[in-house]
Amino acid sequence: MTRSLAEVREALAKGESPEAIVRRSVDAIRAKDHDIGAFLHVADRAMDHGERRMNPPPLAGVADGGLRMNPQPLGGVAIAVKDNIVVAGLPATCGSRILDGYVPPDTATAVARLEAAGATVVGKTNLDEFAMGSSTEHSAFHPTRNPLDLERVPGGSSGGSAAAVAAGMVPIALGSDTGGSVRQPAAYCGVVGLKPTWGRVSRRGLIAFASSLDQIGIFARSAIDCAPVLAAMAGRDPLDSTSSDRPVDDYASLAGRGIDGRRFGVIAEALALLGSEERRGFDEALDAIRKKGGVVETVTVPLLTQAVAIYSIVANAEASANLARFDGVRYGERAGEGSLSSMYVTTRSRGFGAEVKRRIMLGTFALSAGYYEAYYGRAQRARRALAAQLAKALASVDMLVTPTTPGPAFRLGEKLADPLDMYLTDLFTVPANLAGLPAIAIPFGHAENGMPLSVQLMGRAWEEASLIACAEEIETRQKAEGRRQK
Amino acid sequence: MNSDEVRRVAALARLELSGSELEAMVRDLSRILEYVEQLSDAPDATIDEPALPLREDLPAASLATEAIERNAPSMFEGFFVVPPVLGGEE
Repeated sequence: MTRSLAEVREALAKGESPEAIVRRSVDAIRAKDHDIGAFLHVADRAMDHGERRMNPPPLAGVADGGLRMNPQPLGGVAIAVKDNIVVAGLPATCGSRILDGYVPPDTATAVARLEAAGATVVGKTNLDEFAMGSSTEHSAFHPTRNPLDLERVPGGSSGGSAAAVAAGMVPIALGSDTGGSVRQPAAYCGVVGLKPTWGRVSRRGLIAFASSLDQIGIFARSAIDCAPVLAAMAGRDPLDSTSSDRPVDDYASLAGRGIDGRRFGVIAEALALLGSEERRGFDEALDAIRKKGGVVETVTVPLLTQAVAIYSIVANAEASANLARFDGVRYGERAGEGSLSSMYVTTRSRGFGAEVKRRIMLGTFALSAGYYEAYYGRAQRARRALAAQLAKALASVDMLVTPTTPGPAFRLGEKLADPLDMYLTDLFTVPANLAGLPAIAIPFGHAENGMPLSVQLMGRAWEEASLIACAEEIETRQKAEGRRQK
Repeated sequence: MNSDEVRRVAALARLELSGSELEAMVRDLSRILEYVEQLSDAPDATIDEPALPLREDLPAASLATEAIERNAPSMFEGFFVVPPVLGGEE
């Protein structure tokens, strides 16, 4: 088992082949995943598949991704991919019955670029259906359990990817982050989760939930491991017109300049919402930042408290439109005959689960005649105002710091009865999506029940390198002080 | 939200809800919309959205028909087959 890119490099230096290193990840999945349920599909003939994939055809445009210097920077790296990101020849269910049996003919640009950099996809990971949820309990197939405590959820919606990295099955996993779906599960599972700036990584091949918020993100055991993965994935993709043509930074080499002398803004409205235990953990993280030479200030973002309300309307309005394509005509499960419209209705009513129906209903309502302005229009204005408040705060400090989540991982079933209670676990993560900003979740300390706590850094657009550099120093500080083990 | 409104929205969304689903939907949507009401206090901001760029429309290789066909519930001679649009039961 290889838990980090450093371990992969060490194994390569000892003369192990990339294939053999990847095979160890596949073995780890076979040995561990029975109890955890991180994967929906392990590339069963992983090695045929892997070996074929290890020599992918040359990919146009890859040289722009910073790969010119080293043709195989991710050789021997096994990656797990959330099942709403397509990989040719492997199923892509989105955790939904409606896509059961669907095998995409093409590979997402982000994954194709990682493969071109030497990485090997070893499986597809579980998620809340269509990435709608915060616990991975809304998967149509099975829930995923938190590897640190099997009675608790791994978070969501990218819970399978977070669990796969936390359990040491793979060193790197991809997720999608629409409102915190990478950072919240990273926090619950005690790993690092990075959501890049909207437009930094191509969304082509990411099955859309809310297009103005969705971004592919990275799970890793340490912040620095995100650097070569982001460098390989990022950059302009002609097939995603919203992808940016800004040059891609060399994240690994920039990771040297960290916390010292930088200004960190604590959002006052976030502090007010913390319980005493979370406040204690967060204060320790702030101390670590100060000890590394960072300047901690208080900033105010009054609309933070409305972020989940804004998100509930904007994300679900977009979802209701994006999920209209699942109608039984071109792919997936078809149900019902008679007329075309009754086939649509039967297919969708049988194929979608309860949470997805709830979101489609909420979004359809918010966009419907007579309610559009009162809900969608108002939410969009509030979204702009929130983004402006974040921009103003980020003009006076270099980055914002909050806990990643209001509390640690909860028990399976604990929040299923009340959807709103579940949505509020994303309170600190949705602002970055609403404003398109990059953010990183870093494990820091533990709650009294032994579950990990996590701190989030949110930066200015395109400043992922600063986030990675500072996150790395916070980790180092934490390790130096000795991690309180469960 | 009452059950009539939920039925109206379900029809727009091409969903059919069972009796118990309808009941739960009325309850859950009412609760979520009540929470969303706090937005009434949000300050106005002008929305000046830049149009999203579109890529140039150039001829390029596309997916093979067979690749699409493999995932289609029903196809005939390169066309998707669907139940009757007109004349079926409504």
